[in-house]
Amino acid sequence: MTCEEAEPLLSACLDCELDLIHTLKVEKHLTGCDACAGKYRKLEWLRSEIAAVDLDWSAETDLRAMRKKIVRRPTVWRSRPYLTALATAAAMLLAVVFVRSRLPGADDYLDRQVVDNHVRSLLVEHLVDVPSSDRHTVKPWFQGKLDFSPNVPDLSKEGFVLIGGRLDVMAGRQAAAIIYKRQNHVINLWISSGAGQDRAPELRDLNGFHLLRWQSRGVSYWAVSDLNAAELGVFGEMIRSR
Amino acid sequence: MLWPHLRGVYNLARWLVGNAEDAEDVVQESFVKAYQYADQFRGSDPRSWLYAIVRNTSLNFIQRRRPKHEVEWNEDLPEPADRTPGAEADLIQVTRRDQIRSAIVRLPGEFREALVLREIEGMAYKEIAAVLNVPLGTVMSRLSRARSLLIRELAPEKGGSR
Repeated sequence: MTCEEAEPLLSACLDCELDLIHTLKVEKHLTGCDACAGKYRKLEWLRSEIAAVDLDWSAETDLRAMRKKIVRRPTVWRSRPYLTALATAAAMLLAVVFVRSRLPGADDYLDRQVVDNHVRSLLVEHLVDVPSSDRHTVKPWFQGKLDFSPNVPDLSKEGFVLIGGRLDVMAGRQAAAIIYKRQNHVINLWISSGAGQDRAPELRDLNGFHLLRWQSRGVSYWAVSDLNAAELGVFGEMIRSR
Repeated sequence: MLWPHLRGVYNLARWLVGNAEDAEDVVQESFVKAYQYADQFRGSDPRSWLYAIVRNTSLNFIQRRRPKHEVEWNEDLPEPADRTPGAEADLIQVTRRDQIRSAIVRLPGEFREALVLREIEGMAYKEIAAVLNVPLGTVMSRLSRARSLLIRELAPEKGGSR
């Protein structure tokens, strides 16, 4: 691969959006080409710069009030027979899906609890017990509170900013919740000891959230976020490799 | 359900139209449209669909207002810091944020929207392509361009420090 071929792909490579063959070609090119490797580092740098600041505009407005205003607009709920029929059908379908989805195994039930936990952590504004972006503050904070010591890697270079930690309960056991942020997307990572066999990572889609869970060396991990699946996958990989 | 996306689409509108008041109008209009046309929605991804509505409404809005609103330009500039500037680190963070914000705002519209959807809304290329109604390759090249422009703007060493 030449520089002319590699350069337009660098940005997509950073986003994990290239297919395997192109990714390997770009990676190979980067090991041999200082100029392109430098450009790639610049892209990584830009990502971490953007991730390090809070660019959310919604602080300047009141989203709840906005939502109320929208609901009050008559057009939204203007009676339309087919809409009503559609809504009824959708509600029935949802009810069926809900009932069915509640039935199967313990995994599924736990997954839902995990996602509920994630939503709750965002709702009650009790995201962190120990707010800190310093892993050397967060990790020791758990000492004496848990029967294991959670791994808290610094991933800020990769665009995942550490927000803090929280004590939580997962599947009836005490768990460490480590919170990271990628722009406006909060990631809750729960770590709890006492898992059985190792399990490879599994990604699930629940209520618009992505859940990634795995078990390794007697420890269970759950990562939940509304971040896209690919990036949550990358996040999980980084946690596993540190 | 569309409400969970309210924050995201507000942000998109805010980046595209450039001030809070207009962004709010755009979001309200978009939600009304979304509910009105919900029965015509055939796709599988309501999120991209809603973002596409907000994006189109924003573009219409910009076109409509361009001749008359120019005067009110200074109203929302500069953005006041929304936290009390306590620690110095906070201040540095806020000014860096403003630098990054204004660099993104100065991007040409088609680069800005792609970058915001990717870097701030965390969308996959496929979703961005659906929102912008362009092929994947276009998403890829616009993002690549947007990032080179931002690096040129923000990097300390090149083109004088900012």
